[in-house]
Amino acid sequence: MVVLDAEASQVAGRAGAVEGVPVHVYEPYAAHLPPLRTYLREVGERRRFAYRMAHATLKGRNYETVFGQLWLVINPLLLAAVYFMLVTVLAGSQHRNPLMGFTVILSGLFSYYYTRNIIQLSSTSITGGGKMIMNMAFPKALLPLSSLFSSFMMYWPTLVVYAVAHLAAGRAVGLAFAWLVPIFVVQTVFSFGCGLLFAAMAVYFRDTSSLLPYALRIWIYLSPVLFTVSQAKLKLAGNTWLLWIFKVNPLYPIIGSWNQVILEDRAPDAVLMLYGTAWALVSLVGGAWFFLSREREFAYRI
Amino acid sequence: MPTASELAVKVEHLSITYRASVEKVPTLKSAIKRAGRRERMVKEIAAVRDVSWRIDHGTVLGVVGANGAGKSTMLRAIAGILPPTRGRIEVHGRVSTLLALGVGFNSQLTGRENVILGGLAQGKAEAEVEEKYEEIAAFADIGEFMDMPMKSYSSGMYQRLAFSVGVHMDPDILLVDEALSAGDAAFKRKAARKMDELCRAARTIILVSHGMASVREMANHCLWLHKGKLMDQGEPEAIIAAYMRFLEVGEDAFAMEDV
Ligand SMILES: Nc1ncnc2c1ncn2[C@@H]1O[C@H](COP(=O)(O)OP(=O)(O)O)[C@@H](O)[C@H]1O
Ligand SMILES: [Mg+2]
Repeated sequence: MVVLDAEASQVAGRAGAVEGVPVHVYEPYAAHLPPLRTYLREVGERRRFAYRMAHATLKGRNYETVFGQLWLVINPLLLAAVYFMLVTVLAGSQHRNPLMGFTVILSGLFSYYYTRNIIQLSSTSITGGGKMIMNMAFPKALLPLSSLFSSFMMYWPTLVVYAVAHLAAGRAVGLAFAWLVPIFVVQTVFSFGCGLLFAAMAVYFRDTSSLLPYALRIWIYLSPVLFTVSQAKLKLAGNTWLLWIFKVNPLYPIIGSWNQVILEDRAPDAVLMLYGTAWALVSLVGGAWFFLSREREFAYRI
Repeated sequence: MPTASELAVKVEHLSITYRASVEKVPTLKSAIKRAGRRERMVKEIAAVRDVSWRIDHGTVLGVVGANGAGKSTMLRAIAGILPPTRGRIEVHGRVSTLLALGVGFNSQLTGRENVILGGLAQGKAEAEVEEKYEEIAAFADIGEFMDMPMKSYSSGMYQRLAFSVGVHMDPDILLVDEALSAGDAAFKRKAARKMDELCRAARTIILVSHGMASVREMANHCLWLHKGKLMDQGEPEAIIAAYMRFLEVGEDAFAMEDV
């Protein structure tokens, strides 16, 4: 197999180079990853591009109009309503106030959608950016990063809607809510790692992005979205196998701890926090390794 | 800023080989099917073969050659887009590319927004692009269309704006692939003038074109590629003459003459 890896860029400093003029050297080389510091610096320098592109993506989907924004919120709300009715019909409500039960589903669902959007948008970010990849030299991680930004822009309006529902249901808000910040960071890191993985995978298997929605649909049923962690533990008590699948799922600690804070107004279980953080690191390191070690080949394969 | 007679680009024994899989679109489905039969069909295309040359700053390098000669591939390697399969490329200075027009543009956005996006895509800071905005808009000269979504542009307007963004990025080295065909005759003249201006500012330009006239007018050095190989390099007049003769008599006759 021909090694296509290349490129080690550096700023002048060597003999014969002119002060302040960047020197780029491109050659095939054996190193598995591009030089990380240079790479991260270049990503940092162009983050505004990723951000602007995220805006453009939303604009392209008409999400930057009033009705677009509304739809962004109404769509998951309707979905939540469907799930809520399903759960209530199947399991019966434990809450006298139906809004209480509704917020349980709403918080998990919105949170799940954030991760889902990052992964789904990322999965087409490279294959859909062919023109850029063929004609511009840039750190390709900017494209999944832009998907992350888009997803966040789609996420925060739903958080506002949730806050309204939360207060309307008469749920408590306390100091423990500060925990939501680290949990959000953990979720973002985890999702971005997955995004990098699927973005690169789609280059090799173009049907990735059409198979993903099915996997993502199954994922929601395995995650503490339609029920809480404690409900699941109670229901699955005897079923070690199902309980194991349920617990291996990275969204179990992530959405689980998120819901503990929001719905129970308390600090999340330390075990859940640590477990979620571990998943986030595994995902980021694994996803970034897979993506970065292959991105120099993308232009050959697009 | 680099001055003339300093090394701008050095290409040593550059080879670039594409490995195109025979299946048009790789999918998981086809991979699974193939795994059952243990076959893997790839075709190697040697697009650039053992090419070496170097130019100093201030050079306007014209690259000529038939379709499929490997001109675009070589340019992409210099831009850092395609890593070399073999060989080495050394580039001194900031590179801006005009390989395709409107890279990074989004047709939903207005011209104004796209100028910013295109500039950011080339690695500029937002403030720098905004500083350049008036100049870019004036050069593109498309009037109030600057504030309309680009999907309402004619292809000529699109090209003018894209070209304008590309040449206003203050590159040390500008790579241009067949982009001079942008717009109407008047705009072409303007584009040529701008190129001239860039050259005089000790900028380095690598110009791929099969329009012989533009190469003859602007270039002061010329490369001729054929099927990935460097056939000849030197004075544009001489190289173009040789290339033209080659086109007329055809490849076979030329090969015979060599014997
Ligand atoms: N992405 C690609 N995958 C496989 N082969 C390619 C690809 N791009 C170009 N080629 C092949 O490489 C050769 C050189 O192409 P190119 O550099 O575009 O030539 P030119 O710009 O001189 O017309 C051609 O034979 C072309 O078919
Ligand atoms: Mg070409």
